[in-house]
Amino acid sequence: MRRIVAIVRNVWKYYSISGRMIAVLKNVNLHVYRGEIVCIHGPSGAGKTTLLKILAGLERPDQGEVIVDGYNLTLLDDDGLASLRTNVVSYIPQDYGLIDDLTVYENIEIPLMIVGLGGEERRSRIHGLLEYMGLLGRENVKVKHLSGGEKQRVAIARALAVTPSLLLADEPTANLDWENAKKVLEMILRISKDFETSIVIVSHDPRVLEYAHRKYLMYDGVLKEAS
Amino acid sequence: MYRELALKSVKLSVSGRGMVYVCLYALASSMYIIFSPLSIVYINMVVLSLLAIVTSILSDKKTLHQYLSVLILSGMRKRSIFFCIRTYISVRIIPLALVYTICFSYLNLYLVAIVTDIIFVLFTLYSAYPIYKVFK
Ligand SMILES: Nc1ncnc2c1ncn2[C@@H]1O[C@H](COP(=O)(O)OP(=O)(O)OP(=O)(O)O)[C@@H](O)[C@H]1O
Ligand SMILES: [Mg+2]
Repeated sequence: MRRIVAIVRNVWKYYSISGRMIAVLKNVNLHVYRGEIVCIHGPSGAGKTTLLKILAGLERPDQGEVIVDGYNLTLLDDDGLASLRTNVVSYIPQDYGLIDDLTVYENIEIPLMIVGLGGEERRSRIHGLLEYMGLLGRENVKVKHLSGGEKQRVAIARALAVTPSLLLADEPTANLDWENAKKVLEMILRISKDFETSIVIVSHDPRVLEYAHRKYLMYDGVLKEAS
Repeated sequence: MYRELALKSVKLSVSGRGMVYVCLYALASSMYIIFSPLSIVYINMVVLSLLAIVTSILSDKKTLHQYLSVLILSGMRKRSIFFCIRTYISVRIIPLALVYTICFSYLNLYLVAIVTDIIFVLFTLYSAYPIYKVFK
């Protein structure tokens, strides 16, 4: 039996929008196996980002259960969710989640500082990541001077720095042309093979679906597995 | 970890454009205090200096938002994030605190200098939470 890394069970999430409670996620069920790429496809406003944030422990579900790598997120307090993000799950937001005014190197360094890695270990780890992501030679460039494709690769490097078991990518190709998008998707494919990382990609681009092992469709807060 | 992240906070705070505003304001207000030594001027300048800090933080809101996002995404605990925010603000406050302490001491107003510095310390401590809420 393949190992399951993440389970979302009967999750509901409500937001109050102009005084009214609106269900953004309606009884969502999802599971992700180890080393697998899952793609969630759906139109804007369907609730895809909300679901990823719940998996990353950045938002809490109002009902239901979320289990990642054996941890029941619904039972963890804020500090527990934070340490989950240092060790188990990495989330790449749609706007990359980088600091424009810092260099590539300094951006990737931050999560490694938080886990308490020493200077020398950090250097060799970052070197390895830059090499893997094809970014060697760019380490001292400020992020604001990078192209969209490079930014996305730095964002992935930052997220991989602490070797998570679950990687969540929110619209990783939305700001890229198809050539660069393909490069990023091939990189993601390689990561899932090399490190057996489970990866959830959210996208409204149907071309991304080709790269997934399993697909889900999301529409108006309802998630369905597609064949 | 704290020392390194403190250094990163200091670097972002110093290199932000708001740092220039704070320094210019500190110079301008010190002139005012020296040449118009009146209590109403002291009070005004201290109140305005707090506004200057708020303005300087707002002028770097993009970087601050990105910094807090990265810390949250990388799994930093809230208490440690507050530590980074406080470091960031203290760097902005240091030029003001320095100039005001020198001015008030020069005018032999030691009590005013101490009260002003206490206000700055309290501001640093208590503004971390609203900044976290607004910028995260
Ligand atoms: N913090 C919030 N407060 C109130 N409403 C929210 C909040 N976050 C999301 N929503 C609402 O929840 C719904 C789903 O949002 P979500 O960002 O998950 O959609 P999405 O599928 O990621 O869309 P997109 O493809 O545009 O990114 C939207 O209608 C949005 O307005
Ligand atoms: Mg979204």
